[in-house]
Amino acid sequence: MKRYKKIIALVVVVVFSIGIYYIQPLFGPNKKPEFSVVAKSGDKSLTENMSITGYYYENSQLGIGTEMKITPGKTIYQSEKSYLDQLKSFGNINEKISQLQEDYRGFMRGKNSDLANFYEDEMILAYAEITTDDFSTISKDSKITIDVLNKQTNEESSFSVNLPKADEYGYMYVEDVQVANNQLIVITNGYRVNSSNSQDEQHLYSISIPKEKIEKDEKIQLDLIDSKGKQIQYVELMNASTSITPANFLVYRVELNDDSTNMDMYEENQVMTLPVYELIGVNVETGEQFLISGSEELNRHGIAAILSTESDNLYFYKKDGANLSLYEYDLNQKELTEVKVGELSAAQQAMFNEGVIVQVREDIMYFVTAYKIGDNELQMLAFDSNSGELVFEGIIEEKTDYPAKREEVHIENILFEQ
Amino acid sequence: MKNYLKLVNFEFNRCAKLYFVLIGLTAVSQLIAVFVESRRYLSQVNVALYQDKIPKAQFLSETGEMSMFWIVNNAWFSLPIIICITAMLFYSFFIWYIEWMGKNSFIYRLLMLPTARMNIFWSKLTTIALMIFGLIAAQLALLLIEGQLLEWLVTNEFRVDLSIQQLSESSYYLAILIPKSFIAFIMHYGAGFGMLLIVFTVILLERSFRFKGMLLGLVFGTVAFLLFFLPTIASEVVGFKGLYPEELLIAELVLGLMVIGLSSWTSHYLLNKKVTV
Repeated sequence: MKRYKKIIALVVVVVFSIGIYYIQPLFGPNKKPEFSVVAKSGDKSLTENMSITGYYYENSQLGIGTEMKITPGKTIYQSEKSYLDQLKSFGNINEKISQLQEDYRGFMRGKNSDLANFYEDEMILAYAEITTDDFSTISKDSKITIDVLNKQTNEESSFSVNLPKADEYGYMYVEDVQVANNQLIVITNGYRVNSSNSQDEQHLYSISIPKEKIEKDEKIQLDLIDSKGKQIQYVELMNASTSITPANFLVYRVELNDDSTNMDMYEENQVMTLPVYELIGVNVETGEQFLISGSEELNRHGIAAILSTESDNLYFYKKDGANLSLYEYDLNQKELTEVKVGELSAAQQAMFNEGVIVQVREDIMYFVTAYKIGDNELQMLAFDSNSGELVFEGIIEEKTDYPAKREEVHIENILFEQ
Repeated sequence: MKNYLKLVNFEFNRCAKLYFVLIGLTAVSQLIAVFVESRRYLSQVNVALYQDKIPKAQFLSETGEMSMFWIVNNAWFSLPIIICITAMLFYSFFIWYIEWMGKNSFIYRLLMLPTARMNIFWSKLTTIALMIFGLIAAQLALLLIEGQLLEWLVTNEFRVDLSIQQLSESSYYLAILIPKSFIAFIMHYGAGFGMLLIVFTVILLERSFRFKGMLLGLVFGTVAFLLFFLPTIASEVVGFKGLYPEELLIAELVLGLMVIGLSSWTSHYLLNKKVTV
């Protein structure tokens, strides 16, 4: 036995240190904080099905952090999930995709994990994708491939149609999929490169599933916007990428900059002008496109607009000094209504000055502080968008036995479980 | 079993001195890293606070606190790790070729031993595995010691303490060497030992058929490597996305076991029937 002493010592050290390294975190205390929504006033039930997603930095300077989700019961950290769970959700932490993969395992096999490519209603689950070459660019052979699952019969159908004028586009991706008039509408965004000045183009391809062909190709009419003296910076679809449910309207947000901004880029004493936003609404069923022409404020605050597909309304807010106003734009009636909330307290004003994340559900507008850096509190307010009444006020409380020096919380979204 | 243990002990004792020197060198070099980095940081603090009169809070927000993160990224820290990895790679070949060296090849005696010849093969593999895990264990212990040393050298107000798990999250190469999850650890080192098994078989092919064996070994190595990484190659290179991540893992596992089986069987055959002195 004596002659084996070196090797026995080595084996003991190996088992001991590697064992402790992997076993100790299992029994040790949880070092990451627990977050919970604590009501100060108002209706606590509003937060019952609410979860808040974000990113938690243990050390923001070193970039040590993980995605997190604050649920009513506990705070879930992505890095604390098991290796297999992390592997499953690698590249996508979207729960809807995980749910679809669980429910329709065969259909979901090999598909992108981006919700933008999917559409779901009671009857079907549909998927659309544009095939590209090895460099993710559009080639003349690019096609729109469609897969449809009939949820009642479990029948799957797949086909592809040639992308019209494919050789004229440099880049194109599916931004949303909808169904109207018994046709699948594949909504794309991308740019053309055939002319001297390449330009962004957004298309609505109406595809007949039984005929397996494109019936209609409509472009988003950016000329609805008066862009005199301004340049379109980019156009994006506002319909939430976290849902694949049917929508009656699409809303595009167009960011415009002064023509001069780009030219003055390298000049000294340049005056940077803030971008302005215009919104274009599209009625999915009729194809009607219209400029959402609200007030000046509405355009300026376009960045904070929230589209609610459950009520076909657009919601905005405006903070003017200590006063907060809420706006509701009815996409059916094309009418804007303003509701004055009234004067905000100093703490509430501070919250809006720090930046907020907004969400709307059942006509209630929720606001939560976007960042927790240092000592500020994560506050939450909820207003009735019809009356302007403050229906909930609270904070997201943090509990930890191990306060971290460089901790940061970045809130990304407010979600409601179905 | 006893013969196998004797052989492992023999193999390990052969290189034990050099191995412990390697660990010693790593320890010295990494402790130097702690001193170098903390001295550099403290001199930065002195210049900022006492010469440039920058307020402490401003200094901390601009430069940040001292932590083990800076140390693991110092060359004095990473260089011995690179040396250890290179030494292990080199020794994986040397552990076989040493037997054929010299006038009276030692392989003669090894092959004449009244024991299964595969014991020689497994003992060599076990020795390499023990040495690698020994280095990992030493690194884990060193990280704790270095963390403690840093606590003595830099005061709390200028320091952030990181756990080894956090360090592994923030450093790319530590995440590979000592991953946070045990399953990842098994995966990383399982793949590593799979590769080592292929290398051993290639060496035995070369020893059995010399130049022809080298070519055969090259073909065997390439086929085994491609087979092992087939699902990964299909998904990353060809763009085949038909498998869910957990299925990819199972496919890798099954193929890994196949490659291990193939390599072991070939090595068994070569050692018993073909290897020449």
